[in-house]
Amino acid sequence: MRTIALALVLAFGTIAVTSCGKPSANTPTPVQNSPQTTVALTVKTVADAANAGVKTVISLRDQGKLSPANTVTIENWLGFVATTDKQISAILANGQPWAQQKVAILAQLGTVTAPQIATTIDPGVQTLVAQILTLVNQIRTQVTQ
Amino acid sequence: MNPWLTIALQLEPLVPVIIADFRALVKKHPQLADPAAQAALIAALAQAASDVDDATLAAIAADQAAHHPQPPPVPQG
Repeated sequence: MRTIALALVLAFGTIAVTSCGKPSANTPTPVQNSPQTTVALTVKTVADAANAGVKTVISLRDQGKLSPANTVTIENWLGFVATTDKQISAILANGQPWAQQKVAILAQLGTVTAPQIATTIDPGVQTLVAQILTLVNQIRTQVTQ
Repeated sequence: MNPWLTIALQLEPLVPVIIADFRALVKKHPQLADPAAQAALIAALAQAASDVDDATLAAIAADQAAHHPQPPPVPQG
């Protein structure tokens, strides 16, 4: 009886190893995200980046590294990014076909430009703006693919 | 004959059945491939992003109100 039990353990162990290690023609292929899911993930990343950006800007202003005027300029720009991001979220959730959503999202993205800030501004702020613009461009690329 | 080999030979016909059942199970639960599940995921992500954007806008408004308070309204009359 014990021998049979050991044999069964051995046999099932062998099955597990061979079935996991060698993908065959019938192995299910990994499921890819839909384009909307990919864009939605980046939209969420933009939201998080803008939110973190506001905290960074306030902190830099409080440390005396950013002038009050520049703080307002960046905050207003981050507010515009957040508003646009929110509108894109609403488009993604509206249930329309992707072809229509793409056009609407691209129209929103077209309104986002770089803020008017001096090149001598704190490097942390420059990095922050560059990162958010990169993410916005990433959404544009994902939508047009 | 080696007793292990005997048992293995007896079990061998069952192996394809077990693997086939496992594949059938995977085919039964393709959660992410399901359009309804994808739509739910998109809606959840969009809602989460929207909530964070609301928090961002509120933080900006609060900071600007604290640092640039509006002048009190001029009393009428």
